Amino acid sequence: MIQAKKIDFFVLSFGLISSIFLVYFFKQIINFQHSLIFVIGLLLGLTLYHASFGFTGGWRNFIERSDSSALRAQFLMLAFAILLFSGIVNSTSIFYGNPIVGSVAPTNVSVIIGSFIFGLSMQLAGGCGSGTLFTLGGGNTKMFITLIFFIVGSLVGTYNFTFWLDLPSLGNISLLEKFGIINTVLIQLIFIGLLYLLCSFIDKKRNAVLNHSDIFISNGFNAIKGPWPLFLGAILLAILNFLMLNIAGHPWSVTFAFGLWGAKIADFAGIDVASWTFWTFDYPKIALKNSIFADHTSISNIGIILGALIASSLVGSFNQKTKINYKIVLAAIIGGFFMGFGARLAFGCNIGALFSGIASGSLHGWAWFLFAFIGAYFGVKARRWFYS
Amino acid sequence: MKSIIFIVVFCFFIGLGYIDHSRYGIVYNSLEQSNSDLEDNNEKQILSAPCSEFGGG
Repeated sequence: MIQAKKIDFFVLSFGLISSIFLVYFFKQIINFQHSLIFVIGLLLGLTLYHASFGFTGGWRNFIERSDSSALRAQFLMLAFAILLFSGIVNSTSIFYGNPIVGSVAPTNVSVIIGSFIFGLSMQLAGGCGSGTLFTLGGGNTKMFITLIFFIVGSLVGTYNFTFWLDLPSLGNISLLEKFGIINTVLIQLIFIGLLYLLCSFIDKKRNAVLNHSDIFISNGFNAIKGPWPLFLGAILLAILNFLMLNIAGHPWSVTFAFGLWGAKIADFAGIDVASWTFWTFDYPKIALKNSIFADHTSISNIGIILGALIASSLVGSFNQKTKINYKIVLAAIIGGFFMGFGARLAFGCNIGALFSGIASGSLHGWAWFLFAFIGAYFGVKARRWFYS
Repeated sequence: MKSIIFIVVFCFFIGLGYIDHSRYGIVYNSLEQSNSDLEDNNEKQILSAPCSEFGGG
């Protein structure tokens, strides 16, 4: 994906000027914390692009070739995030003293169904929640189609939300509240360690050689132009999520904004989305009546797109041609729609539910991981038709 | 050419955002609440958590 090319100064100038403008704009219309959330988004986009830190491709590499490198990096990211998060969730921000809460949601049948759908769909679309944003910002035209249908799917997912919410549920299970901080950290780290070993074992069994240092090094490493090693990406993403937790008051999330954007557009078109049960819940109700720029997920998503755009301009790859045909467009439409739909059912995507959920000690994050991975297995099989 | 189209589309959507902002304004800013202003944990959850009850990040 990344080749040594000249810096694209036109795209870089746009990325930098618009970023500076938006930092100033958010400070003026809301406050400085919103500018910081946007800057975190920029850094997330830069990191995701330079480290090529994708869940979709990483899972596919493991499913198809037992290549565990991306999965191992994800486990290290989760482990580091757990260490950072566990002592501070349900406490107050270390910077502002504002209340902070984790990503804790019910572990229920809708999480199982939603994450399965999401895992399958992200393989068709070729990108997950964060992946859609950073590859779009990196100049992948197909991802614009994916994002549009991601938004549509997210909105449709809010229509019959109570049906899914009424399905059998274990309720909100916070490991931190159940077992305390030390025990939760130990339990989660041991479990992650076992998963790391299992993936390594499968990789070595199939490929004969396993080099654990592959995620720590990157051929042609360049701090400005990338590529960055996966490990660096993993550590930075965990730190940036921790900063998001302390500045925004909640962990990094992506897909709530997609549903909100869809609802705002539908509302503008005269559809009474405010009467749908989902949009009568306290948080969504406030977000729907509020400026879109007051929504943290929206401004961090804009930041991710611009951060990836800046990164791709530094590599000089923004204007690379994107392979596209009717099958790929179809995959982007189906994949995007069902990722959005699945994310609503599962209380988030690979970021809000998996990454932030597990870091916050919520059991639904682990359920999400398991069933999304099963879905991804079938998605890898299904995508062969679209990408053949 | 792709970069020009991207810039136009990006600015269009930021413009849509600005129209939305002009229409609604800042009705509520959760970051202006201090911890002591919030009476219970449920209230904290509602005001600062798009990830859960039931924002769904």
